[in-house]
Parts: sequence; C-alpha cells; structure tokens
Amino acid sequence: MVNLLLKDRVALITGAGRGIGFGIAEMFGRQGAQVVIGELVEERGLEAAEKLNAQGYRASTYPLDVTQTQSCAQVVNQVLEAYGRIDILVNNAGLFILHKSEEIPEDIWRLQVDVMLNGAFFMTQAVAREAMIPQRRGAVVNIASIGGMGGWPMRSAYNAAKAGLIVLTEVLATEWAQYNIRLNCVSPSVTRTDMMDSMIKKGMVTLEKYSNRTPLGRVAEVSEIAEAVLFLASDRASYITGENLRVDGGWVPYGNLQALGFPEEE
Amino acid sequence: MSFNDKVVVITGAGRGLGYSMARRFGQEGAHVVVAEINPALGQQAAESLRSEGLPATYEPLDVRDPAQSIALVEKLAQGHGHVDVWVNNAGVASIAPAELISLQDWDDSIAVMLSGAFYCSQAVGRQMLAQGFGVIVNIASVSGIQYIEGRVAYSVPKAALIMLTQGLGIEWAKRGVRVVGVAPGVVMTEMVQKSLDEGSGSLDAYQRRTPMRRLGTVEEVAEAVLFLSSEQASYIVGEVMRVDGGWAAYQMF
Repeated sequence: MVNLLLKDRVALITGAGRGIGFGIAEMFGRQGAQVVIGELVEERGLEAAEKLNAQGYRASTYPLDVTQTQSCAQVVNQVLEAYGRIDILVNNAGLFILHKSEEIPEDIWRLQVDVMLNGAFFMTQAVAREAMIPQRRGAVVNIASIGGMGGWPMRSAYNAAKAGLIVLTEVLATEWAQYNIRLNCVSPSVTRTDMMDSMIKKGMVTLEKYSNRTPLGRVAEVSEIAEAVLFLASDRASYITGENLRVDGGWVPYGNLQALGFPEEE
Repeated sequence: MSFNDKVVVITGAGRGLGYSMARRFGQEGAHVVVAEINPALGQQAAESLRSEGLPATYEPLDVRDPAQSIALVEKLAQGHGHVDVWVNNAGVASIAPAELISLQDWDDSIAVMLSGAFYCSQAVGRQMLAQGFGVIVNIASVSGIQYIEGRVAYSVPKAALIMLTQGLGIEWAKRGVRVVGVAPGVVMTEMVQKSLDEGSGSLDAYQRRTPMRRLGTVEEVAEAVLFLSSEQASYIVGEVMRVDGGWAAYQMF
C-alpha cells in the first residue's frame, strides 16, 4: 500500500537548491508533489531540479530573491501560470553571518533580517493573497531555528530574525485559519548541511561541540528535518497550526551543566 | 505498515483519545495493548479492535499503583521480548474553583496524570533502556500551557508532564529512548464533554476561541502521536507538540 502524502500538491520551497531546502524538495518529490524550487542562484536551482527529475520526481525552478517583493510576486505568478495553484509554501531561504553585535555592519544585519524575516513575510503574503486565500486551502511551513528561541552570542541578527519568524507564524496562523490555511514552524538545531560543512571546513566550527551539547549526542541529518516539514505540510497535521516544532535532539530544554563557558570569539 | 510487530501500550485506551490512538497504531500493524483501569471498557475496546482485524489485548492497569505498571512491563517483555511504544494517556478531569476543589480530586489528578505517568515511564523506561530502543509519548494538554478557570487540578499536572517529557527526553536520549509529547487543544473527549455537561464551557465558546473555529478530532491527535512515535521523528526529543487548531498561539480577545 503506497500512500503518497503529497500526491499532486504544488509545493514551493525557497532556497531549495541545497542543504535543508533541497532535502525538503527531495522528500516532497518522493511523496508525489510537484516541487517548485525558488533559488537565488539560478544555476543551483537548475542543478537541483535536474537532480530531482533524474530521480523520477517532478521539479521545476525559478530564480527568486526573497528580499525583492517584485521577485516574490513574479515567482508566485509564474507558479500559478504553470500549475494553477500553490498548496504548500516552505520558507526556507536563509543565511547566517557570525558577527560581534557591537560591530555588526548595518548591511549585514539588514540582509539577514531581510532574507529570513521580511523575505518570508512577503513571500507568504504573495502566496496567500494570490493562491491560498482564493483556494481556501494551504499549508505553510517556516524553517525557523532553535536560535530563534534564545541567546547565542554573536548571532543577534540571525536569532532575532528567526524569533520574529516564529511569532509571525503564530500571528498569521491565527489570522488565516479562517481561510483554512495552516502555518507552522520547524526549528532545527545544528544540521549537517552544506552550510554547516563549509563552516567546518573553514575551521569556524567543530561538530563535536554541538554533538556534546545535544542530549541525543549528535547533530541532525537533513532528512530528519525534512520529515518534520513533510508531516506539518501534509494532511496528517490537519489540526496543527501556529506551532513551532523543535527538531533539536533535546537542545532547547537542556540545562547543560557541562557548559564550556561564554566564548569571546568563535 | 510502519509499526509491524511493534508492541504499543496505551494507558487509558478504553475510550476516547486513547482508543483512537490504539486503533491508529493497530492499523499500522502494531500489537496494541489496551491498558485500562476499567475492565469492562478495556475488554470492550480490545474486542472492538480485534473485530476490525487489529491485534489488540486488554491488560488491567491502575497507573496510580507502581507495582501494576512494573508487573505489566515484565509480562509484556516476557511475552513479546520488547516494548516499543508506551503512551501515557490516562487522565481524569476534575473541574472546580481552586478554593473549593476537594483535596481528594487534587491528589487523584496528580496521582494519575503526573505520578502515574512517571511510574509507568520509569517501569517501561528501564525495559526500553535495557533493550536499547523505545518511545514514550505523554499526552499533555494546552491546559498545561494556558490556564482556564477551574482547571487547577488538571492544568498543574499537565504542565508538570511537559517538564517530565523534557526531563526524561534529555536523560534517556543517548541510550535510544525518545520521550516526546502531544498537547491537544479542545478535542471532544471526556474532559470537554464534562465541562459542557457541567456548564463550565460551551461548544460555542470553545469554537469561538479556536482560530480554526472547530474542535479537533481524536483521529487528528492520534495521527500526531503516530508521527512522533515513528522513525520519522528520530531527532525529536523532549518536545511536546501542540495539536490545537491554533489555540495556544492565539493571545487576543
């Protein structure tokens, strides 16, 4: 008995060219969705879509800069023209720049808030207005972070944007429940993504520190985040809205008496 | 079917939410143990599941008595060799103003929904740690997150159950035992029916208060429990997922 959870659903995923976003796209494809990859780097989007199509899934891609409301509107129109509807939106596009808060340049602050908070909002607004509200149906999953739930030194813009995204999700969930639109967050902890691997390579971080801090004793795999997104995007979660699902191996509620102390620099 | 050959125990599975979970796990191939304090309800539930072709057995269990959960775990471990999932679902619903609620109702609420859940978790946790795998799911409530008048004996143990979920989740994660929870919003269960019968809540008020403008179904909660119990949730630890139609997110009038 093969029961595809997202059979023929049109799912738009931002920043899905790699990392968690690609993992979500892959899982959605496997579950029968028409996957649409929104990607800032056009080449990356094309490669990702090709990879999915080669696996027998249905995927297409459009260049998307979520910091430009015109770009958001354009992609939404293109998707609607191509497929007639948008059932699922995953706001996944993100970036992370470590910086001392007292010295963080304005543009670096603004970029992070622009992509992960403003971008997620304008993308969601466009999809809701043009597709989900008229359809009277839709599911949005926002990729937040456990960073959005607390204090991590040198991550002021990232964490503030993610915290904003978590509350934004609650607001829109309560506002648009009347249109049968569900909105939820998934908050991953450190995940083995391309971004993570490149940070490890540059010597910016080691996985060991993160594994040791995690009650489960290891970092997350991309597929584990994607499974949670799939669940919330599917009809299995029909009564879940305004929720922020932690997929963090127990990170946030852990008191951690083996703390390393407060790093001045990382 | 994702729960083939898994042994799944659900406390208070004689009716309502617990029964619907039992049914859902059964549909996924699990051998379901209906652990229930009321023998008539328990036997009836197990029979009704079997009549649908779902493998289910009834086991008497009063979660307030730790000896009973220890004995049940031993019996299941001997009979099946393993216990895969244990759902702490048994609950009681006492509604009364805090200044008037009987101490017996208070004590019993704590005994069933907090101490009972811990006794069961400790008993089955020992078995799961020994076998190196297992999932415990605690059925909390949005009442453990937001307070409604008259629910002191219900909300307080449910709030504590959330921390118990986090605590055991953290303590046992590295040894293969995941502890997670679900916080249902207003679902047509005994608790809600009782509040309707006693006039401390109205269907209209519940619907108006819920962003999704309807009550949840027991099936919707069961689906969340199934997901959290599954391999798909392998990185979800110590988390209590709200299944509440937006209830707890809503903070306005």
